[in-house]
Amino acid sequence: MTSVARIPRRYFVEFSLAMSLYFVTVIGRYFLVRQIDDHFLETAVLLSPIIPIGLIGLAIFRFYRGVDEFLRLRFLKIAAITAGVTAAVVASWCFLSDVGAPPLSNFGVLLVMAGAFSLAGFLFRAEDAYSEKRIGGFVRVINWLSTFAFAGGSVWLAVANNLGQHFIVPLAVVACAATVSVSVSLHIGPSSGPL
Amino acid sequence: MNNNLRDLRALRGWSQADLAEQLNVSRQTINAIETGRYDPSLPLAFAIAKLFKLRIEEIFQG
Repeated sequence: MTSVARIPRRYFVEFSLAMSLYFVTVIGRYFLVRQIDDHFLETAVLLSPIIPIGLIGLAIFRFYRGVDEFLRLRFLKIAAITAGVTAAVVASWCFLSDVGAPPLSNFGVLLVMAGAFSLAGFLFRAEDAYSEKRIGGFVRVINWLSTFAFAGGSVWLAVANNLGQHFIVPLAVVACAATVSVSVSLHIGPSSGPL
Repeated sequence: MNNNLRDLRALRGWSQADLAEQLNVSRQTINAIETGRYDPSLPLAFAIAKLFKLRIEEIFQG
């Protein structure tokens, strides 16, 4: 049985690999599909991001199964907050659409979810740090800032993507912030992973 | 629920990480219990009591 202390590190490795594979398949399929004539192969390439999505789900499931009761409860709280925030944003956006805002894309919903999850996780981590009186610390501040940058960048990316604007800059912000956040979290050691 | 887990742990010279490792839980869980932000389940409370060789009510008070 894997020790609970090792679970966050295992999660970060599995999640990062799956996420990297997701970006590779999402970007790579556009280049690959142009060079393929076979319809079956073309369909397989276009659907290839589904595999890393499954791996991301598996990494989260293995994290949930591996951690202790307190972190499981926290994970469920964060999931509930994420669902609530996403529902509120999507419902509000529907009304905004009535007055001229473009409809929210599926990708936009996903990004809002990622941002909400990140922010909810941050709030719980801040509660931990406050109770332990160790809010200071350069590394932790960097961790928080990168988390905020990821959350903010996700929303920015969602809006830019939804409005059909150029989204390379927010995409770069999200990618950099996610990389820094994961790297710093790994450096900090046996933290509670995404929680 | 109040508890004297922090005192018991300090008495043995254990860090939160040491206690967490012996109970196979996260350090965050120990911190949350000690600061009263989380009440452990009955199995975890029994495991804590067994580790300290005390009765549950000697560690946790209602």
